[in-house]
Amino acid sequence: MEIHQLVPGLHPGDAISNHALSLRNLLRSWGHVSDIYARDVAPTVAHECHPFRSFQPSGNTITIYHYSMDFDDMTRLFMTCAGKRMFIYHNITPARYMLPYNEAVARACAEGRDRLAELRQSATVVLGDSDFNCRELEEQGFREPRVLPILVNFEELDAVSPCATVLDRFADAWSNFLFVGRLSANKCQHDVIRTFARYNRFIDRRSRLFLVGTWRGMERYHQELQRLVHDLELDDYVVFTGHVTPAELVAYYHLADLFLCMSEHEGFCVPILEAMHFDVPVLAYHAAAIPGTLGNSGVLATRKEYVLVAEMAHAMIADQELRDAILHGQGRRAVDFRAASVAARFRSYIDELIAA
Amino acid sequence: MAYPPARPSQEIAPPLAPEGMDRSEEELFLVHAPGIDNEELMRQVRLNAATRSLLPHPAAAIGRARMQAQRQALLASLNDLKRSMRDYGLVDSHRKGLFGWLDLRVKRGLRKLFQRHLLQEHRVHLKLLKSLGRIIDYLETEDQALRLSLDRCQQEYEQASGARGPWPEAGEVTSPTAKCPVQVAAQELPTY
Repeated sequence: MEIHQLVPGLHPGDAISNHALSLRNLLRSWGHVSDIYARDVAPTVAHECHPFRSFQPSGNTITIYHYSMDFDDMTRLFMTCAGKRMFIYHNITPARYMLPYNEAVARACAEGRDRLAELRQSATVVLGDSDFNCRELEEQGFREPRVLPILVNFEELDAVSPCATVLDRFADAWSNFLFVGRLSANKCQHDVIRTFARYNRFIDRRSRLFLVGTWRGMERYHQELQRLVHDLELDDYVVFTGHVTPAELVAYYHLADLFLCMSEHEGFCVPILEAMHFDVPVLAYHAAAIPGTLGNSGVLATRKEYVLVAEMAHAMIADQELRDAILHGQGRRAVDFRAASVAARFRSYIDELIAA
Repeated sequence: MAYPPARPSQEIAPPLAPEGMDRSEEELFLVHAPGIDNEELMRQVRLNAATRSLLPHPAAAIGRARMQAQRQALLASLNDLKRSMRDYGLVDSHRKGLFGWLDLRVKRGLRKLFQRHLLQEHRVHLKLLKSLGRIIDYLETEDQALRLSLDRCQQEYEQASGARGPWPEAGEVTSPTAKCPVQVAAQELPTY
């Protein structure tokens, strides 16, 4: 059977792109003919997909649409295409976070959310990455949305050797805070910096913060963060890495003593899974899909009280007993997101769609 | 590099006000750590927060960001140099007809004549580029080694000095004859 995917964009290192590639590989391994049709494609992964305009489904085709931002032409193609349809909602960042920094992105986000309700009758099977995403779909009138977590291929990450240059550059006994994610106001890197400032200035000066992620399209927010770092006299302690290679990413996880996430809007948050995989304790703000992804593991802060959050971070770094207990819980939670269990769930949805 | 005087903590985050203590800290954190006494953990967190004071900068951190920025600038200029190497331009003529043809032949002949020298120069440039790269790596390694030694030195000093106070901030030692903190620490260490 032909099962193809429509993806707004395909970029290296992007969680949705990796998810789509993993699903395609799974579908092919189950004997289906499967390809990805993308709209905005990075040159380095162009060989992995076809331009979406060349997509011509027949009556026997199953089309899977990954919805993370609305592109009118692609959404219309999905709504009118022949065959059976599956809709996967990856959530859309509320426009209010983007508006001060990138009006075009803010507009696209707003349109994406407005368009969501129109899509409620478009697919037989409706999926969301998390319970949080499914709740949003239900509010928009979608029937029986179900959860399909992002498929993270840890074997690929394990096969990558950590970048020696990064390891050498930070080879000291300092405590390292880490947050991974593109610089974006909804991810609240400013709150990560403020919490780290309290830790660095009052608890342990021998500490640094790695903010791993690109700022493409969010240059103004990056400048604001740099200004904040300078005003807090943290220039020598905060590292903006920009886009990193898989080897560099693995090196930063190896160096990290704590994964600190202050994000206010996440549809799933893959870096939390990666932190669990690399045995880095997670301290996160209780918002959006994060409690669902963490489950009964890690530490959640319900308010952004920097002083106490920094103290909790210190306890998680310095108290070995607490650290071990948290890592034990995270290890158990990570099992729920193993590729095999996500693949089994995906297969049941595909079988259901074929039988429908 | 001397840092400006540290700002009061209020500018970073509001200090733990007494009325803040009324809030239930158990609600602030959801700690998923089996076997850990959450109440005791919160008590410790609260206690620590109330007793902190502003810390001085460790000497090893000072100027690290500036060093990193300069390293990036050096690498960028090296890449620029690499791009411009062997960029001798195309052999072309602005004239047309027979003169143009002749002009082109002469220029090509001259280029061919000097080709050996150009290639020799190119090889020198390549070696120079490699050497500059090595120098950057060496300086970076040296900077890192110095910072590590400085950091270890400072930690040992802090341990040895105990309650005598923190490492002096940059600029505090004004007299050229003043003893550096490491010397002071070494003199005042107990002998066994």
